[in-house]
Amino acid sequence: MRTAQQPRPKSTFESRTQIKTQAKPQARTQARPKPETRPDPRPRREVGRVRVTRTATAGATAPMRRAPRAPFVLLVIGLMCGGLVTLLLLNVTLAQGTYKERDLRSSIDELRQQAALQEKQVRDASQPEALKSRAPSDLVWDDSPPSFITSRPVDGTR
Amino acid sequence: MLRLSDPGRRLNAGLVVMAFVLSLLAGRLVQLQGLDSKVLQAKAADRREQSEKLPARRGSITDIAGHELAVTVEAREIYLDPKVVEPAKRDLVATTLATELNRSKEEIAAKLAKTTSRYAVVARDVDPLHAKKIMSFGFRGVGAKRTYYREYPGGRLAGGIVGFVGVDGYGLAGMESAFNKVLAGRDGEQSFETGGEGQRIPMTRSTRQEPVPGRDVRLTIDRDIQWAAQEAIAEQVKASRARSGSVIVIDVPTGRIVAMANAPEVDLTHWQDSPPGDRRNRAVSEVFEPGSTNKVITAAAAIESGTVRSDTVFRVPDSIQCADRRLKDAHPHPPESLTFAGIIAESSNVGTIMAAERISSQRLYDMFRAFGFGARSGVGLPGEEAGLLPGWQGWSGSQRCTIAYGQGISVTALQIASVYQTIANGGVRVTPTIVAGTTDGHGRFVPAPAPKRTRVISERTAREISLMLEAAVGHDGTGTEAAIPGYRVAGKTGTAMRYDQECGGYCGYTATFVGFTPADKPRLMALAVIQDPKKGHYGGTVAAPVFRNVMTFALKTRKIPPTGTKTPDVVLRAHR
Repeated sequence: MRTAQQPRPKSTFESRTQIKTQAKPQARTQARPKPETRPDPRPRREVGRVRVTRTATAGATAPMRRAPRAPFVLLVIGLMCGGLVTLLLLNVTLAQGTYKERDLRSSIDELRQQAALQEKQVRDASQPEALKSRAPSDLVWDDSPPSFITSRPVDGTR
Repeated sequence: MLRLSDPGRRLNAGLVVMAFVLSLLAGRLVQLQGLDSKVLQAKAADRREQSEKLPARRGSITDIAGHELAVTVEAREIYLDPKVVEPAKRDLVATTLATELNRSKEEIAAKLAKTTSRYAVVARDVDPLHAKKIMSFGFRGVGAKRTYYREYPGGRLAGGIVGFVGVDGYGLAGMESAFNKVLAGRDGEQSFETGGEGQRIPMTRSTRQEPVPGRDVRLTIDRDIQWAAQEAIAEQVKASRARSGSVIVIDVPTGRIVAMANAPEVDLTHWQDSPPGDRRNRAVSEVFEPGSTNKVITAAAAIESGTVRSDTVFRVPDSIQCADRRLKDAHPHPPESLTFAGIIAESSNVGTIMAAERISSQRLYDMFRAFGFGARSGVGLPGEEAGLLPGWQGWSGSQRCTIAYGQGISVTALQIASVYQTIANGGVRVTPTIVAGTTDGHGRFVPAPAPKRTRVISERTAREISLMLEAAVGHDGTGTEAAIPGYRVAGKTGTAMRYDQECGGYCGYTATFVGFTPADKPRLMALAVIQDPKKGHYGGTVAAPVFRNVMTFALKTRKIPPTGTKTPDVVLRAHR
């Protein structure tokens, strides 16, 4: 354990070490002028230092009210949960859409197959051979020559 | 011995065990995620990814009115995976499939017994709704694969023209073969990831290359006239106990083939059951000696040369010496004074030889060539023969005479039909066509290019021959059986000796009748040819009735009225 008077090691843990040191009330009063005389060139370390200072001040004078963290944390958790649920719902909806699409496609296929079957029935029924089998026997093969009605008598026509 | 009562030691031991277990897990993790990751990923993808070929729908072949002669319909292939079928249910599966698919139970049971096989086809071309019913039984190891089935609704209708496809859907004969590239289209492919039940997994990788459907081919055939032609020729072939027969009907002004029927005709639905000889289109693939129907070409050459007219009189005996052979008429008769029209009307071989003697062999040969003999007609039907027309330099003494009346050369039925189309069309030969057009990629109809038109003989010669042919169907002609009351019919009978490879010489006859109607303004021409009839063999008695029946039907179907004109008198005999 180091005290404030000890030479400060030039390590990256400089401020952390300082915090630990300054947490003790006796050392805090002696350590205060240090930051003024030796300003830390790295701004990121400044935050830790100010905090420490404020804590020390709060300990010495009237306690300052800390901003409550809970709502912020709850907000973040809420947002994350919301996002997660939305993503889940989206996924489920899409999956449901896929199932629905598959069902609809299956239904379309079946209707198309029914239509194809009926087309086939029509096609088969309209074939000359099928018509022949359904036609009355005296009309199956009428080989009489064609007859025409003319408005005036014409040689060679009936 | 290790004493574990000391908590520190216990902790250390636990730590070692945990470290060991964790190191095993870590090792496995490195193996799965690092070393084998690619192999495992590929295996997982293989299980998820479904890749399938999307077969292109083959185009239809239709008649001129759009009636389908060949159409592709969706079907299912029912297959078995014998390894998956539960042994206890094999009998039930075999019984059910046998009943549903009209197959023998033993056949299916035998397929089920081959448990080393993973794919055994039970039935092809099953209707999708029927396949669905089979799948609803829920048998494990029974599946239905989507396929296409080529359907020929007419069965034998236009069988020789349409042709058929093999099991793989590739055209093997007829238009199916000739237009295979147009009809086939291009298959597509798709791959996607599926779940256990075959449903697509959303938001996963999928690729799809759409199939390009085949294009439709529209023929010039009229389905109804085709059917009538098939009925008529089949009936006459049966009645005359002939070997085979063909009928061709052509639209004279356009050269479009309206019907092309053969007997026996291949049943396209069961083409495998037909003998190979019956699967072809005889009208273009069978060559024969044309006989008297060929006399019009001799007549055309003689009239065009200016040495003979229709009223030129010949003193015609019933036989004539030609080089080393004595050639005769069909019936013995005393010498007669016949006009050239009379020679054609009564189909005198001797008279035709006498007329042919007035022109050179080369002129006669050139006329044969101009009418299309010795070359394919240009119709584009597969299996078409060019016939046999020896060069005039090689004609022997008697061959020059026999060729004049149609013996010693070989032609196809379509080649003769084309000759009469030329005469009926005022001397202009229109290359016979059978394809009216195809559809393009958007389903729009694209007509086939206009056929080639060639003037072969003058209009005057054509008219003169037409009158001679009309006389041939008249009272004194040989083709009275072809007359259609109310219509002017021009035509020619043909009775040729038939060369038969089986007997190694001339055995039997080829009976032919070919003509057109109305004679003064021809709209349709028809040809009937019957090979080797046993009951009667004259073209005027065997083939002419077929011509009359088919032409009558075609006139009624096409609603072609008579022209109302009277047949001019043609002098057939001169009284000297």
